[in-house]
Amino acid sequence: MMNTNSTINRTFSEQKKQEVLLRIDNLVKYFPIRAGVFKRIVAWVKAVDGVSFEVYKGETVGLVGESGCGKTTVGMTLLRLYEPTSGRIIVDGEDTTHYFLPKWKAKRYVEKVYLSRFKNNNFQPVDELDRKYFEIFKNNGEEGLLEYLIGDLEEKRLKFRRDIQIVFQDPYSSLNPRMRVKNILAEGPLAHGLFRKSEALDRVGRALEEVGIHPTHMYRFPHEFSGGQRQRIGIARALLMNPKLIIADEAVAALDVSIRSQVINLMMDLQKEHNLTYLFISHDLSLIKYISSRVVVMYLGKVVETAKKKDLFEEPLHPYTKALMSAIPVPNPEYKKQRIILQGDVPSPVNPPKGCYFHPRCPVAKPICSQERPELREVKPEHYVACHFPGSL
Amino acid sequence: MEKTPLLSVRNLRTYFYTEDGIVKAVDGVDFDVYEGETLGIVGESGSGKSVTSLSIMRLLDPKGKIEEGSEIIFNGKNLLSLSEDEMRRIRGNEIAMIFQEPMVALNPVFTIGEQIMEAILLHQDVDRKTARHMAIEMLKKVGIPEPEKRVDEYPHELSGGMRQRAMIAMALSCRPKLLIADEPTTALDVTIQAQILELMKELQKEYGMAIILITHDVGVIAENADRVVVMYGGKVMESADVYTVFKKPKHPYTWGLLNAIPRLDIEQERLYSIPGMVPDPLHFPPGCRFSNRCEFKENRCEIEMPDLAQVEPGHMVRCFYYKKVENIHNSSKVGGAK
Amino acid sequence: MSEPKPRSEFRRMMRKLLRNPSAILGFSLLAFFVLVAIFAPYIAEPVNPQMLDENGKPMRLDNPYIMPVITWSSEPIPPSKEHPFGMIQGRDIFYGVVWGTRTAFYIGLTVTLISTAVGIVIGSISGYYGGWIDEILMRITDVFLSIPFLLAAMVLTTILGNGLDKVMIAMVVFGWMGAARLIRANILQVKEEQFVLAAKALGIKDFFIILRHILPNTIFPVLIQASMRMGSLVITAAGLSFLGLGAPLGYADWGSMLNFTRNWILGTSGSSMTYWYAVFYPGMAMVLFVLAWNLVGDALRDVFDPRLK
Repeated sequence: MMNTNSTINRTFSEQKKQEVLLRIDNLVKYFPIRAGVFKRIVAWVKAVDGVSFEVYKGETVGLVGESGCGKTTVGMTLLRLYEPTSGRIIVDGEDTTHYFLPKWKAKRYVEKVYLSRFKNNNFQPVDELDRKYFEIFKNNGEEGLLEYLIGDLEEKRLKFRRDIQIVFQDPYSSLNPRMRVKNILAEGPLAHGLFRKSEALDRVGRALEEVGIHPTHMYRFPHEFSGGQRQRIGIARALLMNPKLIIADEAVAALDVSIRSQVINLMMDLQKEHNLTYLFISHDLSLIKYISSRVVVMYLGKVVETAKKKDLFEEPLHPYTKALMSAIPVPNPEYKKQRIILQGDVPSPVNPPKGCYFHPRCPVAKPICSQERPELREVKPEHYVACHFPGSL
Repeated sequence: MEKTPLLSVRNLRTYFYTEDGIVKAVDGVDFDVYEGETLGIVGESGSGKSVTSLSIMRLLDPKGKIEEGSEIIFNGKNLLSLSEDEMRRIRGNEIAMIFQEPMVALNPVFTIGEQIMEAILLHQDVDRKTARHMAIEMLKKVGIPEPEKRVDEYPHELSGGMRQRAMIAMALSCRPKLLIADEPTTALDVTIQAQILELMKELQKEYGMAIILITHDVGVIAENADRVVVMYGGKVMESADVYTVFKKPKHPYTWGLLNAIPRLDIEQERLYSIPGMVPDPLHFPPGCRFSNRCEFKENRCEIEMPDLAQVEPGHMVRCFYYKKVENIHNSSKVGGAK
Repeated sequence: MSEPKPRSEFRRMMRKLLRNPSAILGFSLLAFFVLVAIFAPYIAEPVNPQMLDENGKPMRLDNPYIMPVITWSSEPIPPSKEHPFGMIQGRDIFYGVVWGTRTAFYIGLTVTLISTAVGIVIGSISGYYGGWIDEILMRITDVFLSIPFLLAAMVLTTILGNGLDKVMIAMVVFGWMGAARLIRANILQVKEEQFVLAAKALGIKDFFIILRHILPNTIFPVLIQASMRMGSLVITAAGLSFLGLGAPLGYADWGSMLNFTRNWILGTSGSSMTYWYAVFYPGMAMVLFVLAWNLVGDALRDVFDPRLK
């Protein structure tokens, strides 16, 4: 951990400016609830309700929250296994939000989000991306920007798929039970032409070796492996695509304790070797503390706090973060901690409470909390909190 | 002054006779539970911790058999020699159990109230009206808001945490002397887990019952158990009071486990990894069951199974070379990894 | 480090099958029918003993499926040494039962294969894409399901004309819905499995996701259902033949043979069992054929359906 940390810190100080690999901008994902004969939409589940955060190159961001907070939906939506309701997903300095839409919808998206603003005479760019796209718009006109953004969508999609990979939670359902490991691993790279069929065995073998599985086992089926080994195979599958970002969605939650640390350590070693960036989605704060360099805490579809790991764990400012930390059982019977027991359950994301989503359970809520929703703001350097009274608990 | 234990498990062996062979899920387990205390049983999948609890309740599926020579002495009676009828009177009355997934344990077609009342009516001599009243009291006690309303709701109408509370209400309605909680909070979120564990502690204080808390989460054990039994491969590897186990672990497995988990209370450079895989109960290694994953093993470990021996008062360890762990543990900072 | 033991799934299945007596019975019966179908020309030589060629040997039949008329007596003739199952309408019942086995396989396999394939395609598209495609395809399926099969088949054969092939067309047109619904339901389940999501995240094309990831994990229940339908299809075909819609007169088909018995089925006055053989042998063949497929289907389900393991 120390090593990873210091490497990151050094890189940061050397580069001064951290390179953003992924930026999620006000991401919203609502799921419709349908009822009745005509399948009318009767309500919306606000699974992700305006989430923004950044992931820098080479770091590990921990996305933490309890079940139903929308952390998994964030992962699925940014992978475009779900289409976002609104918001932008920016990878490596390019807007990718429209990549998986049909061409006409993608065009409509570009018109709505960029062109309509660019055509306004008083247009002021609000971010790096605006500047970049406006430059193209000025030089090459509307057609030029459209060509840049929605030309060759298929190629863009494939690149996106190579750049972002996922490791799933369930080692039992994440590998096709009717395929041999070698085919599971070679499928993606072959579809992308990353290597030729004649090289496949060699490359798959090497990838397996890297994750600690004997290469000769590539002819086996998933059921012949233990949970930990399957998770390693899932990691190898992601690794073979040469991704820039790996989303690990509760990647070790289903494993036994003694196996869990093997897989965590493996993932950290691979990160160093391949210069990977991780978005680590988990409910387990202790794991997040061990593996992440920055942490994003979610509650009921919103980010409540985000900070560097050290800052967050030394001084959590949001009452929810603090309560979450105090609820984690510590394997040390002599460890004395402030016990904060939150009352009640997480409210339903269909009808979230008015004002601050956390106020019905918040031990330090004041009248304003039930009226006004606090925005995420920078309370300390690089430490963002969505609370009217940060640090009051 | 020896206290007599409320429950004594002696040489418990529970085998499952499957198509693929005999699974020795529990293979010679001994432990005691005293009145009013919480005994934590910790282990990973396949360690036999859940089968142990089902054996005590005699709720094994037909393939499982408790072998001859096993003893489960509860309040002076050997539960294994009771008839099914006598056992039914003990179950739910003197020994109650709560499970990981309340949705499975609660019957979806009856209201919460009906299910609690059923337990009360079965074991206590009261009429329906009193039973209903008692059920509402119990729901109030476990912290379910508006118990008069909730008593008539069905399990699916409650959230996960509320269901677990309802199940605790049901289990405690007859004031058992012993509560077996098998991963009671594993399916719950941490903030809800904290609520439930707190509730169990309060009720334990009030009722003075003993609890067997079975879990894979060493953190939960550290915060809630008085004494700890560490199981691996169907055997007890180490047992002692909670401070001893966490401060001075002597079995390589316990030591490895404690260093393999990410923790909030200390800074960790790198987690320790116990090598290898959780053993398949059909193919245990010869000798010590942990020998194939143990970094301290010697030739002897692969041939001979060590006994569970007392290494200091109240501290039992099943290892020939526990001194090695002692040395390495003392040399490294407490809880620090290698 | 203990090696994961490669459990041979196949050996486990075989062991499971061999331990189940009804599975053994089913497979033996099926094997018996297959053998009869293969060796039909040796078991019941396709010759007409009434007509001799220039060498004085019985003439070979042009079409062995048309049962030769060997006597002009219209009344059934009880079993004898030459005709062990007896005769009806001048035709040898034994010959009909033997060659009818081939007809049964022909009808069953063709109809099952085609209708299942149609069902799989429709169900896969419906289940995988969902949305309005699913809605439209499923409503069409409902429409087809709501038409009584026998009626539909009769109407269709009236339009297309009589004949075994027409009956088979009718059975395909009105027989794919079960498979479509079953595979759709299974796909809806498998679609959410993480390995399908993983394949999507790898950028695999939809066609290959369906082909490599979804179908192999959904197809077994459909195949099991298909094997069970094999038997019942033969009964349906026989029913249509009995009604005179199916095979032409004298065709070696169990249903058509029962059609012959319509006038004799009640026996003579006072002894209803007089012509038992006319009904018994073709009927028995049919019952055993259906039984074989049902037992095989049951056995396959036991082996492949993880929910029953």
